[in-house]
Amino acid sequence: MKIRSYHVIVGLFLIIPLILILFKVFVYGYSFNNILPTTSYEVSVTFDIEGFGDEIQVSTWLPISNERQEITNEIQETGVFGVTQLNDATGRRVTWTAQAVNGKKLIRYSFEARGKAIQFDIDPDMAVPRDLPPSVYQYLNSTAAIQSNHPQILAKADELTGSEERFLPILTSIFTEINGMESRPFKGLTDALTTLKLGEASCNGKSRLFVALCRNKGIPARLVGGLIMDQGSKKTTHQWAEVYMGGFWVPFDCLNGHFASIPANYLELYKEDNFLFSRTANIEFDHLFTIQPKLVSNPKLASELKSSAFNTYLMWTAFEKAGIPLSLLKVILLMPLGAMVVAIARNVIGLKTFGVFLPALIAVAVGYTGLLWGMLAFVLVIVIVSLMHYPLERLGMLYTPKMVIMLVTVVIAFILLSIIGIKMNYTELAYITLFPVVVITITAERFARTVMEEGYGDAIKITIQTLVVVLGAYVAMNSTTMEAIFLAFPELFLTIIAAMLLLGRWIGLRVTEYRRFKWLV
Amino acid sequence: MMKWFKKRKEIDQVALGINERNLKLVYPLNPRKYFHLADDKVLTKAILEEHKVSVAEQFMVIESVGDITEKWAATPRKSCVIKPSKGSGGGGILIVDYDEENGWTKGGKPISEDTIERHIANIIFGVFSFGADDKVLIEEKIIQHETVTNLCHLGIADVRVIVKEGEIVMAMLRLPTKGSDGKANLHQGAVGVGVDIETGILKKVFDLQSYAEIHPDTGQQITGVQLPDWPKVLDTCLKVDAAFPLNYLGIDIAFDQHKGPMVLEINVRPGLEIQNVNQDGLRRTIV
Repeated sequence: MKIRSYHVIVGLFLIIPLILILFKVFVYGYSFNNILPTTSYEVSVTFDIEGFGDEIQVSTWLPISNERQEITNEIQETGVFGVTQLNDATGRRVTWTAQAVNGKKLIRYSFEARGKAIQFDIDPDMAVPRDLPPSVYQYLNSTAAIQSNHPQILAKADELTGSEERFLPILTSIFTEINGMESRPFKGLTDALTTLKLGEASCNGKSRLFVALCRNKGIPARLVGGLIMDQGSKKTTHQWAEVYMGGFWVPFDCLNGHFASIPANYLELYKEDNFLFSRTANIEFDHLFTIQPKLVSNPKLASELKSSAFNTYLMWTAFEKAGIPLSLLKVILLMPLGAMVVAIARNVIGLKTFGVFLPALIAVAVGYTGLLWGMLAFVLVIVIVSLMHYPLERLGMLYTPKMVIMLVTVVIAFILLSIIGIKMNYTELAYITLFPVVVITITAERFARTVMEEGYGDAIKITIQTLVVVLGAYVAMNSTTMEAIFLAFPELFLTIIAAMLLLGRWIGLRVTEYRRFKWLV
Repeated sequence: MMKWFKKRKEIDQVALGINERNLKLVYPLNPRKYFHLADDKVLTKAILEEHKVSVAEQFMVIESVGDITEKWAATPRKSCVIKPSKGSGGGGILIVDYDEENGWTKGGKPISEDTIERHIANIIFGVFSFGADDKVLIEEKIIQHETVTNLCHLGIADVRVIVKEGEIVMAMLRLPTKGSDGKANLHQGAVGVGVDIETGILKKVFDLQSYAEIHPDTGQQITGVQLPDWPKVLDTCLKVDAAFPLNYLGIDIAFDQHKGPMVLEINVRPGLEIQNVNQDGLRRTIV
C-alpha cells in the first residue's frame, strides 16, 4: 500500500476516536470526575486494652457519611465488649463496655472511607451577620480552652482585623497570622491563649486560637477532630476548624494551610472541642490507625454511562442479562491494551517473551490470584517444567505426550500446594489454584519448547523478560483508571490499532539492539 | 550524554535491526509461500542438485516408520549424518561412523543398529520438530578440508554467506569451540570470524565478548588465513540464489577436502550477529 494512504488510515484511526471523545464530553456531558476511579481508604483502628479485674469502658467517635465523606464496610470486632452508640451534635459516639476484665483485650474497628475535597468561595462583600440562628449561638462562647473573651485575644483580634466587618478580610488576616506561626508537634492539649503567647503550636492549639479569634469577632466557629488518611500506620489524629458562614460550616486548617477548603483525605470523626478517646482510668490503653489507600471504580460511573450513548456500559448491561460475569467483559476490554504493552516491549524495547499474547494472558491470570501469587505460580510452572524436561528428554519421548505429562505434574503440584496451604491455615497459598489452567498449559509448553530450541540459559533469560512484560501488562490491565476509560470510550480501541499500524511499519533499532551492535562503531 | 546520543546515532546509521530486516528484506524478498523450500532440507537438497550445486551426497530419505528397517538396511554402510529434515538449531542430528572392524560407532563408541533405528523413528514422530511429522535425511559425512581443520578440529566449521538479490553482501566463518559441543552456531558458543568477501581472507575472531586473532580454545592463528576455494564459494552462493525464488538468504557452506564447498542449508531469516563479527553494518544493503 502507498505510504500516503497508509498515513491517512492511521490519521483516521486517531481522529475518529478523538472526535467521538470530544462529542461525548461536550455533547453528552461525560464528566471525567464521574468516570475516573476515586481513592478509597481502608482504615482500621485497633485498641490494645489491658484490664485488671474491673469494669472498663472506652469511648470514641466513629465516622459518619455526609456530603463530603462516605463510610462503608464497617466492621467492629469487639470481643468481650458490649457496644452502645449515641448520636448527638458532636457525632456518633460509641462506648465499649466490659465487666471484670483481666489481661489483654483487643478491639478492632475498620471501614472504608472515600472523601471528597471541598473548596468554598467566599463572597468578598459578605459581612458578618448580626443575627444568627439560635442553634449556632453556642459557637460564640468562650470556654476554658478557647478563651475568646480574654483581653489578649481581644487585643490580637483588633490588631489583626481592626474594624473590619466582612468575612473574607477577617478570616484571611486571622488565618495568615496563625498559619505563619511555627508549627510544633506538641503532644496533648494547647489552649488558645497559650498558643497566642507562645507563638507556636500543633494542630489543636492553632485551631483553638483560630476559633477563639473568630468567636471574638462574632463569627461562630468550632473545632473538628479527625484523621488525615495517609498510607501507613499512625497514632496521630488531627484537628481543624469550621466557621459558620451563610448557612454552611466552612473548613479551615491553619496548620496545613487549607483556607476554606480541606483535601479529600481528611476524615471527619467528631465536632467540637473533645478528646477522640475517653476511657476509665483503670486500664492500660493504646491505639493505632492503619490506613491503606486504593483506587476503586467511581460510584457514579454506572449512572454516568447509563444515561449517555456510545459506551461499553450498555453492552455490559446486555451481558448481565445473559448471566455473563462483568469481570469477563473487563478482561476482554483491556486485553488489547495488554497486547499493546507486549508489542511495544518486543518491537521497541526488544524484550523476548514466550509467545505474543502469552504475557498478556498471564497478566490476566495474575489479576485473579494477585500479583505476588501469580508471579510465584508462573515461576513454579517454569521450575517444574525445567526439572522434568531432562529426564523426559532422555526417554526420547514424543512432543505432545511429553507436554501432557508436564501439564499433569504441574496440576498435581498446584493442587498439593493448595491442600498444604489450607491444612496449614495459609489460605493465600490456596489461591494459586486459581491460576487458570489454560495459561499454565501454554506457559509450560512454550518454556519447554524454548529449552529445546535454545537451551536452559536462553530459556531462563526469556522467562525473566517475560515476567517483566507480564508486570507491565498487569499494571496496564489492572488499572481501574484504564477500565473506566475503556468502558466510557471504547473507541480508544481504534487508537490502539493506529499505534500498531505505526509500530508495524517502524524500522528503528530496538532499544536492546543499541547494546548488541555497540561493536559496530 | 551528548556522547551517548552521538553513539546511538552512529549505530542507527550502520546497524540493521530486526524490525528493518523483516520489513525491508525478509518480507518483500522472501515470500512466505516459499519458506518451506528452505525449511525442508530434503526439498532444499533436491532443488540444489537440480541446479548442479554441490551438496553432501544423499544416501537415503526415510518418510514412514514402516520403512525404517528396510531402508536402513539398504543405506550404504558408510560414515553418515542422520538428521531431521525440518529440524532447527542442530537438534536431532546423529553422526555415525562405520568400518568393517568395529561396525557402527558414534564418537568412537559402539552404537547398536537398534539405537540408530529408534533415533530414526523419533525423528519421523516429530520429537525434534515440535510434534509435526518429519522426514529423515541420511547423507554422507563431510570430510573437512584440512585448511579449515587446521584452524579448528573441534567439529565441522561452516561459512555463512548473506546474499541479497544476486549480490554477495557479507560472510563469516563459524568455528566450533569446546563450549559449543562441536556445533557451529554462535548462540551455542561457537565463534564467528569475519571474512573479506573479495579475497576470502579471514578477519578477526569474535566470541560475542571481544575480538581476537586466534581461536580461543586451540590458540591457532586465524586472522589473515585464506579460506580454500573462495571463488568457488562465491560462485556456489550465486547459483543457490538463482535456484530459489527467495532473494535474501543466509547460505551455510562447509568445506570438503575432496569435493570443495558444499551447501549445508539455507536460511530465510539469517541472523544479524554477522554484523558484529565483521564489525560492519548491513544497513547499507537496503538501498
